[in-house]
Amino acid sequence: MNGRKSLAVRLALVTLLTTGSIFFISSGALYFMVRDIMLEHAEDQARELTHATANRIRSSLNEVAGSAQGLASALNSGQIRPDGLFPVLDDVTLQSDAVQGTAVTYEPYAADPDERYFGPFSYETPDGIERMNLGGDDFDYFTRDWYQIPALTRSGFWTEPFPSAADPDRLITTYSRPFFDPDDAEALRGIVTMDIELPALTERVDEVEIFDSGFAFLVSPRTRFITYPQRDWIMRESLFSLAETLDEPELRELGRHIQRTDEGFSRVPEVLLEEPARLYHVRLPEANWAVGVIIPERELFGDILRVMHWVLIIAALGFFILLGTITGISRGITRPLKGLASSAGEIARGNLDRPLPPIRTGDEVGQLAHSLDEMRLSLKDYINDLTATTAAKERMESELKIARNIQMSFLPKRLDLADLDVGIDLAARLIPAKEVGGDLYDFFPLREHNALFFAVGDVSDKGVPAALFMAVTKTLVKGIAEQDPRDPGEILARVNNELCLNNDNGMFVTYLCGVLDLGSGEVRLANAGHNPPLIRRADGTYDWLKLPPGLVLGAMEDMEYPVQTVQLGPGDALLLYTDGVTEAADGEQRLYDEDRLFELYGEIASRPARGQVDAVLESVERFADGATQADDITVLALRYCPRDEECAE
Amino acid sequence: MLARSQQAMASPDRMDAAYAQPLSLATSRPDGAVWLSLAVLAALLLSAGSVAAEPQTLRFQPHWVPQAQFAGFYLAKDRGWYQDAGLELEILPHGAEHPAPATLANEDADVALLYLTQALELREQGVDVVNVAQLIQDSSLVLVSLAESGILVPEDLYGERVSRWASFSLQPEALFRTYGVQPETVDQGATMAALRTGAVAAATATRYNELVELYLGGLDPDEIEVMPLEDHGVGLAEDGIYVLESTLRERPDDIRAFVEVSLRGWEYAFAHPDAAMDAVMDRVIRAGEPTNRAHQRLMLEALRPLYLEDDELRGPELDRQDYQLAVSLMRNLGHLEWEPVPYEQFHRDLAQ
Repeated sequence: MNGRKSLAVRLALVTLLTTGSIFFISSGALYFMVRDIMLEHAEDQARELTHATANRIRSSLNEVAGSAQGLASALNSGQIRPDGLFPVLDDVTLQSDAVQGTAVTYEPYAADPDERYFGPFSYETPDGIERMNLGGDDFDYFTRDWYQIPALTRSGFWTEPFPSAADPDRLITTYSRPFFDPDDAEALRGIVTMDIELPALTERVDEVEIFDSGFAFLVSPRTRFITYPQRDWIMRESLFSLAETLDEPELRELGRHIQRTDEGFSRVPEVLLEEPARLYHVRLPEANWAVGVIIPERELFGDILRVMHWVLIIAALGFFILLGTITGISRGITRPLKGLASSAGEIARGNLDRPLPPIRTGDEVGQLAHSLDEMRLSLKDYINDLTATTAAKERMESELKIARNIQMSFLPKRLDLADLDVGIDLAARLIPAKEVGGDLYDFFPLREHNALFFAVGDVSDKGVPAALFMAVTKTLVKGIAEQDPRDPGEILARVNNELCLNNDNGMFVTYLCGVLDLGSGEVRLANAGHNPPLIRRADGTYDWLKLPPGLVLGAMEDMEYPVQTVQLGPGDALLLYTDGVTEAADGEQRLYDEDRLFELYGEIASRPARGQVDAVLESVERFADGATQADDITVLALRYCPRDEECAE
Repeated sequence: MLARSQQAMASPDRMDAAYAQPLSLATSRPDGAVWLSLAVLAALLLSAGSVAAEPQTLRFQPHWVPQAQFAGFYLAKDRGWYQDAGLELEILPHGAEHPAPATLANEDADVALLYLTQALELREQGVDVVNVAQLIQDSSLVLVSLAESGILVPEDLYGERVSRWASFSLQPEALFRTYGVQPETVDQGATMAALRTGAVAAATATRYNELVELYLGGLDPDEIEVMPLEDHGVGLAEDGIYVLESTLRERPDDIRAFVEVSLRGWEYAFAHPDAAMDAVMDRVIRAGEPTNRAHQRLMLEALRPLYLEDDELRGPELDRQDYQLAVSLMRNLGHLEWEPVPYEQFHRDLAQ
């Protein structure tokens, strides 16, 4: 048995493939569903954390913005005069932990008609509060963002963070706010600014921990990193510059998304962390910064991946067990099947004696084995019967063959007229059909009467009974004819009566006989239901010879058979035949028929008797063209030749 | 602290401070006279001393902070090409605190990069500067606005608030005059924040710096509207290599060598942008500039069409018509009072 085609392997393969597919589809679906759930949870967690971080930063920013607002309001109301600003600025700066420096810068000549720049500024140093005046030819503060933008927009403004000049690692940002003329709320007088140090804020961002390696970061309005684990990116790279350098357009899209949405949960392009990650961001509306929390997917989906690993391991074990079970079951099925297949092979080779292997299972295989065994026994019986039948048939056939031979040996082989001084050319032939048939012909000299008896007959049936009936007819005819050959009608009447005795089988025979007076050439013919003969005169004319009708022999007792006398001259000829000639059929069941025979006879009647017989038989054979011969074919030709030379042509 | 921090803040992209200096020179006539006399004196001293002194050292003053705008010079120096040409090139510290026109006029530098208008203003002040190579033949200046404001043609500027650098007001003013619009103009600071926050409707920008800054600030090209000054007949030639006439007289071979090597450096920079970036970023980081490689790379690419035509350097000749255009624009707007020198005296083709 070929292993590839073995049932056990196929069964195992199909089962494993099917269960495997189901398992992978269902566990895949499970994985993605759980993944989505975990993603949602992570989003919730990240949202909470990002908001918490953002809120802490916002509260600090708002505190500073509030202080600046208070100072601006005081200036709006005219409570503070420009020359009395420094003590106020010192106080404001010292009061707030977040504020590192405070300045009030005026529009050109707004504080003092002689001074283009007027900008008192108090700031903290480790040694205490310091004061200075901003502005000058080398410091035209009117075009600084912190001055110009609030001046033009008339609203508060947070600058992009920038590194402190004192310590480049410390970041500073400035909140600025316009204030107006106490007498004219439309007339801008200057800008209040408050500096805050970012480390206090960024440390809080840096402290954020989520999962194992999740982290938080802060970006400026241009998405420049204010704080980020990769320190050399801080204040240098933005999401947009990285998008260019790393050639990752998705990073640019992420940057634009952060700039343009208040918050969101997005996928981070792999190039940033060199692994897939998720980002939750919240924009700080005050400063337009954004706080982001990044969680690597590895950690986000770590648990589910671990679970999936175990599921896969268990599944692999399960598959092995399944494989073993299926193999076992299919072996149990196929082992008896293998035995059965081998036994069936033996049966096919004809060995019916080998018993089938015992199969005790009551399942379909057991039933199959039982059926196969019954088939074996039936076959055995049948073959035994067949052998006996065949032997009997062979014996019968052999006996029939013998019967046939005997039948044929009844027929005279040649005409012995040596002791008679007369020329007769006579030939006859009987071509038997397959079985023992019922045709006959006969001829014999009647020496005492210087005559020749000749006849053709056809028994109604076939087989051994017909053969026996023919033999009886022939014997009777010969016996009666030799006693009194003068009247063939009388011969037929007596034979008929003999045949009718005890003819329980209802058999009969058609019979045409004639007695030829060798001296005169006179022929006396009597017919018992047989086909009419053909006659040919020496002058070449020929015709059917019309005979008075007579009933077939063996049908009814006491029948009379009229005799017709025909005078034959030298060279005249007669042709007798059975219906095996005229009813011979070709492959399409067309009959040879009398017309064809009549035509043929015109061509061949001048030939010697032997030649005529052969020509008729040959014509019939040609007509049949290989079709099975259904009946015996008998032809008898006779030429009257008182002197030898008249017949020899 | 604020003062110091503001200086630091000024360093990245600020142009106003740099141009504040020449502006102050241009507006204060006595200063100009002082410069002139100083320059003449210095020239005399230098010419006297130059016979004995070794002319090896050449001091070069770029006119802005370290960035890709000077990539060709950095590369040529890093590759030792100046040394090969017999020059000990000293690239002077550059940035807002080191205004190139003043440094050149003071003879604190032998060679300087200047805008054509800056050079003409020096001439106006009596400093005999000579253009020995014109690098940027076209104007990179544009007016930029957010696409949503719908400013497509100069006429749309009517009634809008436009910022421009005080030291660079000439071309925008010429534009406004050409189209008869009178927008509210304000002095422009160092960043594009005013434009982004909507404090101004339009701002001036160079293609290689501020437009790059806007792009790297997250604005896509279809979100901004760019109006090139070049398209409106007010574009002027920009970066050129300038020396004092006296320096050229005394050290013609050194100047020629400097120009040749520098042009070679520029060809190399455009052919090998990565090498150019290494040279630029090295100086950017040493100078503590908060810019990044992406910005510098985009700057170099924006400079490419200004420098090259069919991959060939377009300089170093200063186009006579560009010179005439600059002169006539400046005279029309009252920036020049004196009759400027003829073109032949202003630009020297060292190749001849």
